[in-house]
Amino acid sequence: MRIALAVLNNRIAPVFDTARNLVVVEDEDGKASQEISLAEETPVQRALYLAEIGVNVLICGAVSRSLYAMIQARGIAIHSFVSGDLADVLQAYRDGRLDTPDFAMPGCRGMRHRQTGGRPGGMPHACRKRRGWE
Amino acid sequence: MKKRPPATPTEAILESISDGVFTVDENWRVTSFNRAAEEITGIPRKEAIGQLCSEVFKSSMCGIACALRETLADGKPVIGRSGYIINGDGRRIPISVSTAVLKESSGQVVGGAETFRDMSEIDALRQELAGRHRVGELTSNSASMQRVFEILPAIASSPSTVLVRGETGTGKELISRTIHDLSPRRNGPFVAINCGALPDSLLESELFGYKAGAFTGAAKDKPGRFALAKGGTLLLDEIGDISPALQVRLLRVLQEKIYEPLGSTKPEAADARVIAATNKDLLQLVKEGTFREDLYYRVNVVQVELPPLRARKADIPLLVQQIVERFNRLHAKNLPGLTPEALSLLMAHDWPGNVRELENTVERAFVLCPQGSIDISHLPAEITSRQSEQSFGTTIQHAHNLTDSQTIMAALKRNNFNRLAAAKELGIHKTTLFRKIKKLGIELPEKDGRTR
Repeated sequence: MRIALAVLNNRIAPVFDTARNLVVVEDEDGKASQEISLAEETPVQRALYLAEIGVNVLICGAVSRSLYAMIQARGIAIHSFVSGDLADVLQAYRDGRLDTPDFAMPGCRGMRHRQTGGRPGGMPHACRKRRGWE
Repeated sequence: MKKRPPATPTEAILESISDGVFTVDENWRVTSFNRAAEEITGIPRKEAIGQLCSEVFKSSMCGIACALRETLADGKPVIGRSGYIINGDGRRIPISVSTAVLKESSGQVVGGAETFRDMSEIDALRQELAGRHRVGELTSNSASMQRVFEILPAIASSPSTVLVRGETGTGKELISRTIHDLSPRRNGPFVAINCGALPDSLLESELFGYKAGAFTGAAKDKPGRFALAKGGTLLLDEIGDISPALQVRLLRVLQEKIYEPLGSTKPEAADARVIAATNKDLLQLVKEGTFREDLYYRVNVVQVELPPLRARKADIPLLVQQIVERFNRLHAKNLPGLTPEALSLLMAHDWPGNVRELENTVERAFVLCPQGSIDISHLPAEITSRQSEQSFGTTIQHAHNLTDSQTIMAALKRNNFNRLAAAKELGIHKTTLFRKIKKLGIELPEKDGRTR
């Protein structure tokens, strides 16, 4: 299983759309990892690139809807709106505890909050439930 | 409980303005976050304070392009830099940021302040005026469009002429603009001309331009579309409607890359990447003798086929949502969307006019619906008359089934085809899910995603 983590300064990069560094780990042997530079590119190109290099799982920070949909459409599982130090996040993923508030970005920790964001309808943020967007 | 001390004038001001303001310390941790910042980002102050600013703000500039980092390094404030932030729903919100250095009385730098403005309204209106759509927003859930997306980058980067085929209203101009924006010519002009809308003589002067005195009424030189598109991209829409005489001239331009404006013998260099679009079957026109075969092969170097909306019904909910949001901005309304019944009817319609017809339908409903969700009563007769053709129940049921199977399929994909996880996510019992999968005839792949 090939896992890719978008990183910035040894933490999960805050925005995947503009992230420039990827750490790719082969889950079977665990230790082997490589750092890949991401080009400045459109969402379409980025989604295609991930599929091209055989990524099965992507762990990243905030990601825009359309990029999320395109990556998902290529059969890659995405854990988005994740934050934390690279090593901690990787370990949490392996232990199955990535979906906890400890590794959620600010604003995505499930705290009850009045409807904001100025969006029509004012729905609470989907990142709290870490679902895909229907 | 300790009473909060009264707000200082500065705090009161910060809380009252509509621009977001936050401050950070030397370690990039948020030290203050005003009310507008909470509203624009959707993140409560409590969750922002003490966190890394990039993880709170989630902006396109975080990282190497951070405006605050630049300001703290060279001491120069940044004013009005554009970018976007991603909110919890994954929506990009365009913003404009300005920065300042925070110093204490000794002159020691203790942190930075960043102000940001929500540019959504301005951005949307500007784009409507320019008739453009953001490249990043092009999205689809259907396989047929995914195939188109896959080849777009390669098509964009090559200089070859492209033929875009699709029924009316399928987004031929949008795709052409996307190809332009992905190409090396993206900073050049994008010029479109509808060849079907103009009579031959006018079309010729529009395409190639004219010199003063070329004909009566030609008071001064006018550049043609080829000239206006120099260094950029030229979209020749409805190319199937060009007369045989003009086809010859066009063929020459495409082959030799030169043309003469009307009333001039001096050739001009054509330096535009050509995209041709048509809703007709050009090959059929060639067989009928109305379209030149040599022009056909010159234009059909690379082809992009846009599927009709009825072949990508899975995209209707997404498109409707985008259209509703756009009209909410334009009409200054706040409609949440459509009722499930109205959406089901839209899913059942065939859409001969494709996306443009969908936009018109939703816009009309928008005008008729004062507030709340758009319902069947707001939809035009062409959509609702399906009810009289077949029994109301089966149409709605069929549409419900279609939406159900798509929702289930999407949930399964997200959970790697693990049925239990998908059922959990959908909020239904796993036996209900199995029953629905069987009833709707959803086909599942070999793997079932169960953890070992």
